[in-house]
Amino acid sequence: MCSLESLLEVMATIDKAIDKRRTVMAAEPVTRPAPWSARRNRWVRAIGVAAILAIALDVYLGLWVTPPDKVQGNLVRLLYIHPALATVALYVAFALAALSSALWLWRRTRAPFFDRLAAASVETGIVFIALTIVTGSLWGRPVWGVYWTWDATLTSTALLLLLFLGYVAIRKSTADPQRRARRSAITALVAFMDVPLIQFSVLWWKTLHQKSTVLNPSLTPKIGGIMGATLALSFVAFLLLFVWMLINRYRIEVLKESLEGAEMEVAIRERVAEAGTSGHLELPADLRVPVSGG
Amino acid sequence: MKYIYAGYIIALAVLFLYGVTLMVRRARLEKAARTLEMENGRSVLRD
Amino acid sequence: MLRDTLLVAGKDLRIELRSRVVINQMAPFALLVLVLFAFALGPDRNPLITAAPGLFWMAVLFSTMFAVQRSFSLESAEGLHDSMVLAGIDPAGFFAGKLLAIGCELFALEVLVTSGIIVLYGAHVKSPAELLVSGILGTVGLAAAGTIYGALVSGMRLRETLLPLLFLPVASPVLIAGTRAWQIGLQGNSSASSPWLGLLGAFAALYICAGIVLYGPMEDMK
Repeated sequence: MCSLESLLEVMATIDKAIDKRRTVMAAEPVTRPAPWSARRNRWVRAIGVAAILAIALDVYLGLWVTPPDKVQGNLVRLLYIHPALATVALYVAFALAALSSALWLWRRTRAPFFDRLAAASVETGIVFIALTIVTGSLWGRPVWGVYWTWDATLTSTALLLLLFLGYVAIRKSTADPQRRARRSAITALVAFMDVPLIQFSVLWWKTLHQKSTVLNPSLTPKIGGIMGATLALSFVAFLLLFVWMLINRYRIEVLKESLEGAEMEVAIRERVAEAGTSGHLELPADLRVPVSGG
Repeated sequence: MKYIYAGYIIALAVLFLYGVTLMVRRARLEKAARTLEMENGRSVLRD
Repeated sequence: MLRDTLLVAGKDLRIELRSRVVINQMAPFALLVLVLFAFALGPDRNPLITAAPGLFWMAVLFSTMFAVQRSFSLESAEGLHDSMVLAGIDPAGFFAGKLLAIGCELFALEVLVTSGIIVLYGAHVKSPAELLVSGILGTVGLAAAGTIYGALVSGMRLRETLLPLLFLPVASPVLIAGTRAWQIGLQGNSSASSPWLGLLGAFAALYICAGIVLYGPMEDMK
């Protein structure tokens, strides 16, 4: 009958497709991440330990050794946390993500390394930016009496957090790695371009609107001696911590991607195996009809 | 002064938690990669 | 590139004239936003007039998102992208054409909303030049950024929710600068408007360049 023959033809086509997939799979080179050498592990661990020690020292100096400020009193102690967090979040994390994205987009330097680096940088940066906002808000609370004052820098930083979150949203919504990389890279660059405009517009919004001067807690006129040293230490400490987190987050990204690929392969292989040991689809015995040459 | 303590504590706690999360996640993924390699009899992790 | 720009823009605007989506749906939406703000801010005119510049730009931002989504839904027809590529349309020209069409639609909506504000809220305009210039510059900037993001999320399942999340933070300088420029337009001290208009111009220039440069790589995705 016509319908049965066409059914068998369809099955023969599926057969061929499965065979083709098998040969393609065997031929496909799959990139696997190499496990870290002992030396690399040691380096990363060293950076982590150094970061912890530096931060511990920073906290000790910041909370107990440094003197209170003449103007701000004890409030100045947040100086040893907040500016470092902000600098790392904005000038390191975001800039690195944008640079990485640009390098990925440019054909000559395109490599999965840059896409993964950008993703790791943004995700780690989100933690730092959120903390920048929280510490900045806490710094302002005793002075202004409210947790949020629409201070120019705080507001800009909040907008930047939203831009980072948009990047993560785009990344989560795309499954295909190539497309994901392209969309993320463009998102990062377009967002990064906006940063100076956001900073200016929010600053002018705040200062050109109100005649009164805005008390900016992150600018203290005289920072010398032990205060200056602690401030410098804080930058180093949080930078080290960011680098350690970045390296680990990058490694996680690499592992995730290759596991996704491996799991796909396993799933396909299982599908193929289900089709029968010989790889051919089998009809029940009473329906098997010899296929004519046509 | 309590705002200072709150700020320090929150910052350190969040960073610590994130660091731990990263380490745990990485360990899990490395283990999964090794398990997959053993299950399938072929190298998931290149030596 | 100019030829492609006019081709694409012409196609979009002609579709619009025939389907009348802007006229039938987006314009009422924009007016609806004005009415809802009136409900939200009270029957007393003073808060409305004080807030009018901001409300104008909020209405424009929301309308931009609808215009962008509508513009890119036109492109989702089967095989349309392939025929564009075969016809040899320059990606930069495609971007500029989309930008032009969205910009024109937005500008028409802005004229409507401005009249709405003057009529419904009783605002008095002291210096219309600010309104006009900020309107043009702001619209171009918003259309440029909107087109970039619209292209980025076109074809994604989650595009309706992603587009606002991505576009609105990026558009905030336009909101800030446009609102200030409008305030100056309503109150009349023209000398103060140059930083804001400058910012709007910078935004527009920046995003037009970005769109022209990035549109090629984006097209490769599809």
